[in-house]
Amino acid sequence: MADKPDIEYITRLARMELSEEEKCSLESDLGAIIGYMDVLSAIDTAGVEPMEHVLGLCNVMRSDDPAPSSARGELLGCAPREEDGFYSVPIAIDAE
Amino acid sequence: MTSFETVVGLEIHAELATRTKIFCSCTTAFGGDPNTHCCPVCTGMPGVLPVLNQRVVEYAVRAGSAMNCEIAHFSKLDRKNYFYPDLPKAYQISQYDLPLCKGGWVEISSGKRIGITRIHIEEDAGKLIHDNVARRTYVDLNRCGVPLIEIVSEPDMRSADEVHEFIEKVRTILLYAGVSDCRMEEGSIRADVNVSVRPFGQSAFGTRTEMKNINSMRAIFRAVEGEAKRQSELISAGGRVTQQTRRWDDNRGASKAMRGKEEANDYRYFPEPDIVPIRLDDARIDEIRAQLPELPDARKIRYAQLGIAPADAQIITASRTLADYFEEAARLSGNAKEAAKWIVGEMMRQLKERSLEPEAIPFPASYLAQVITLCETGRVTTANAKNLFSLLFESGEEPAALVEKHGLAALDDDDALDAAVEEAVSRNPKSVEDFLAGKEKSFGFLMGQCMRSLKGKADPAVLREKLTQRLEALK
Ligand SMILES: [Zn+2]
Repeated sequence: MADKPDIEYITRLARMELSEEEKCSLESDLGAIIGYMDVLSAIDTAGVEPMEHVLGLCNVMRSDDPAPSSARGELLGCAPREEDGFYSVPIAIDAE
Repeated sequence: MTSFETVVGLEIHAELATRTKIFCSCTTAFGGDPNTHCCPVCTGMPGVLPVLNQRVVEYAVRAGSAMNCEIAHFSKLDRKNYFYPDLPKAYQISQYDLPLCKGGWVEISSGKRIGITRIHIEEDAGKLIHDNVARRTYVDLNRCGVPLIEIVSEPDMRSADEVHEFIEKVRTILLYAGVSDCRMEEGSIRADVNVSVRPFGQSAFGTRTEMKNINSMRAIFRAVEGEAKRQSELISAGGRVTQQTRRWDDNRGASKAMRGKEEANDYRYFPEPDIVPIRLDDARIDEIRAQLPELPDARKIRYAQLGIAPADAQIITASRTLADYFEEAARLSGNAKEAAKWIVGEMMRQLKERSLEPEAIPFPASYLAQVITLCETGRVTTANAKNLFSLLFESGEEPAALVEKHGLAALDDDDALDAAVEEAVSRNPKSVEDFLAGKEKSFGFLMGQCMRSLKGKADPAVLREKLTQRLEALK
């Protein structure tokens, strides 16, 4: 049997705040998903090549030629706050 | 007190010298106003499709080949998830279980090989400026998506000196391979440093700590020494090293544990669905490998065959530009030994004095070859050749023109030499007397007097001969 999902840990990693109710329902949903892994694990895959990508393509690449970048205003306009050409966010480190 | 052996492994991040970013066509040029080298792809807008820059693969394979790695026939990219404002997608596209290069080595001067575990490609993050007063962080995403290779070494280094040498060697190889500019001050090469200690003779490794993102050679050296000392003292005092990420503060010369929140390292890697895998067959790998120039170790062997001392070959090959310059001067003058002597001596001295890199030598190798020839044929004395060399740094003129202009040609006028000897002897009777009485030192003084009146233009060997004859005649 797969382990019960650690909802507290997952929400912390995903920076999500959930109500107790949401945590409960997620725990059972995620539990079912993880449980399905047991079904997959039971399948005999000896001799099956691992699939690394769903498209089956490889080597899709571009040449190293520069093209103009976007207008700064357009990009910064998508952000909640900008200052002097920078994105401005709540401070990301604590003072020493 | 038990004495401890230091054990170090490195993760070196080097910026690749491509023109565009790894997944979009934005320029990688350094500088530029904040957020002007950005597009929807590198700022992580929803719904965009990143496309891999083929030169990134090429450069990484070149670097791997130069470090004796096995190149993967099949390789893929993965998402490394973490939240930080320098990473707008909230994941970095990197490589997890199938890196491009594996299992190489780099040899340091002692002949010891430092193992290369792997080399993989990934994208750089943006730059943050923290303002403690305004309580804001300002984000510039120009660096975001700039291609990097991460070179992971085995824990094979045993001292800060070995670490220093290894990084220098890697840097030289990357510069020769032409895949990175390796400018440490612009952050184009930086390292995560893993340090542990163990009592000498113990084969099991001690518990290691990691110091992330150190970007100067001096700071890396000091971090290794400082952290090894801290761990040794801790163990000697009966304590135990905790496995953790620490921050090296080079101003304080000490490392400090990062708080748990900062180190929450659960990256939840998974395959990157937007980028399809990379397949390289042997023909393609050979084709890329063929782009590699002759590397420093191979050149050193060849230089030894030309009669160049190993220490000199080391200095010359430390820079590809200098090595290429040397080879050109050696070829044109037909005198490799002299070319090496000039480069290791006067060239290095002038570059150091003027704080110049070899790339900034202001005259072609053919000029150095001409200087060598002028010396060999006796047209210019060694002393004046040094003056000539210095002049080459100041003017763009050819050596022959400078010799003419500054009157540096050696005198082949016998009469002038004879006159100078005669003058020196008649004006310095005391020195002559001393010499005849057996004081060898006086000879040097008299030589100096002759040279002075000839303004240094005489061939010293010829002058010495004349002065000796003149003094012998007085005996
Ligand atoms: Zn872009």
